[in-house]
Amino acid sequence: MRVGAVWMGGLALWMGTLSLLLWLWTSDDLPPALLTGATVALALVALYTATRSEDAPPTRHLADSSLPTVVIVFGLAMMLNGLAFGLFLILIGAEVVALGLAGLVIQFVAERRARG
Amino acid sequence: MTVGAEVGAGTAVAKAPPGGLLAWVATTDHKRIALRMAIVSFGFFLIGGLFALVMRSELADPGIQLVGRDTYNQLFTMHGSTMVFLVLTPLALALAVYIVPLQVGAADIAAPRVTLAGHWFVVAGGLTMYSSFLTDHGAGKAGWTAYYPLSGDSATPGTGMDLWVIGVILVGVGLTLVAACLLATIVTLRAPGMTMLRLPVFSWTMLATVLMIVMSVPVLAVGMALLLADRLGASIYESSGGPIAYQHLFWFFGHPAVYIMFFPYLGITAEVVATFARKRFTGYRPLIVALLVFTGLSMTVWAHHMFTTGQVANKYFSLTSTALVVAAGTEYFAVIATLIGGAILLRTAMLFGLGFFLQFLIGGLSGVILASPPLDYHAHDSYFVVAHFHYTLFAGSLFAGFAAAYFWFPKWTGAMLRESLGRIHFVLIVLGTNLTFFPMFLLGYDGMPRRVADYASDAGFTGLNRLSTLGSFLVALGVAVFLWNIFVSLRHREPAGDDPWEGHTLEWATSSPPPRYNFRSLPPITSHAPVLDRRLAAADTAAKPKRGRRR
Repeated sequence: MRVGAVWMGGLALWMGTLSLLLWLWTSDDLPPALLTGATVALALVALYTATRSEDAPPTRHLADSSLPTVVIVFGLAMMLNGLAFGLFLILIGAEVVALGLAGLVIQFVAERRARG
Repeated sequence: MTVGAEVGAGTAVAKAPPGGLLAWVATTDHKRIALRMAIVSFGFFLIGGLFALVMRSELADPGIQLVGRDTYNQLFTMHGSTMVFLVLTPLALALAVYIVPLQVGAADIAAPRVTLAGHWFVVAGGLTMYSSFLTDHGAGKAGWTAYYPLSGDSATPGTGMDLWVIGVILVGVGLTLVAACLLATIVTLRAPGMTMLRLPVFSWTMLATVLMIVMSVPVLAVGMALLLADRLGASIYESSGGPIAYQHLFWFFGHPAVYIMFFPYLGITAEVVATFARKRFTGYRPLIVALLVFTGLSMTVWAHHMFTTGQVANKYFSLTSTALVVAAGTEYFAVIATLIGGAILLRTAMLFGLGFFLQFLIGGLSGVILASPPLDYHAHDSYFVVAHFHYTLFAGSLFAGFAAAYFWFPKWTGAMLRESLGRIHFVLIVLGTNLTFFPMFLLGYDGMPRRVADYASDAGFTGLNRLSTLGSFLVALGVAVFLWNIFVSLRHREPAGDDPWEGHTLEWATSSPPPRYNFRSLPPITSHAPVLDRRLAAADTAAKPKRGRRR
């Protein structure tokens, strides 16, 4: 178990207490639900951290640059902009994302080969 | 100890590092990503600052002189959005993406591709927000808070507002991705010996910051996605409780955002103060406890922005907001305790660090007034609020941002910034900041509302507004001096060496700038200041033979 999980768990406990107080204090559901949601998210991160091994991670084989990553981001941004400008931009964005994903797969394969 | 497999360092597939445009846009080196993030954020800062100058010029006299009301609405909306979404938070994350892996002794950041994606999401979001200026109805004009129904399609029609909303969603996604990478780096990539209680103060403040980002920014993205759906005809917020629900979703992000823009800068100041006080940071453990208490509380104070709606639990949110003072006070006292008994060296970085402390104090103390519902009813939506948050965010955080620039510029570039120009920069910024923002407290107290392009000539606001405008141009002059300093320092380089300030933390144990995988070797890590420990141990070893000879 990683020690970071203890710190985050403690923080989640503190936020859980504050959430409980808010549930008791207000009749409105949304504010305490938001706070409880954030607390649960933090608790899940703490739980995930707790399950990670303390061992040092293995050596990574990483490309020095990753253009496909940038292509995917701009494809997604185009798709989102398409909500304002029309379906054509969503479709172009989707093609750009597909192109980026293909590039990323090629890059992952190259990295795996380098790893042997 | 060699660093490589032991700390999870990568080895590149490509034999030679890429150069040119590819290196500019797609590098996976955390240091280069961080520098691009910082440059982009600073570029947005200059544009946002330009908007502020236009607004201040308009307000120098009563009447409409320079820009119309509609343009003014667009300017203050984009000024606020730029500074909050595209400058202060991304700038803090940029510093962290560069410094945190170094401080924890990691060879790289966790998931560099995701960090890269996060950076480009922020850029794409910024470009989307700014492209709204090119649309028929102009840019978003509902303020950076985009309150509903003002931000709805009927009150603010046009694609420009849609683009603003889409831009904020993209930025939110980007910030969350970068924060997640930093969180993973701190938790999983620490070097052997770097326990949680040996993390440097800046890394601790960043841990608190990224936790807040991960918890709050997705809520903003959801709120904005619902607003976009509403604008596109889905009638999400149109119900009777809709506008209040929007405010909850917005401020659930919006108030932690204030601390997201405070904690990193507090961490910077702590590092700078300890280094230039020539002593170990005092009150390390109380500061960490205070940080965690503060982080929890910071998630519970958002509805103090909604006191005047009468639809929130004022007592609860007033109590939690006021309780923040205890944690904030502990952090302040820890830094002050570090100064006590130190051999203080007033370099430019230290001046800006101390400036942050004093200026943020004014912002923080005026915040206590706004945390009290009876007082807030008077100050709400007035220039008092504008003065308060500019003292925290500009006069506070940006001062620490400049401190970081002077402190870590040698590490980033291998060259020193000019001290003489730095001092001129500091004086201009101090004068300009206080001249700009202090009159706003008086204007707000006297009843001048915020977000207005004009005011009555007989309202008695003219003199204070002129002072404020004069101050804003002094700030601009200060920023120009800073840019000139960078230009001169890079053109006529004064070599910095690996550790020009006799720093305390691991980033000073490597070359300036650091190599691709950060370290060739690491010193033993036995505290949160391992480089200081090594220096003290070396001094001790050097002193022993002399003592022996005397005997």
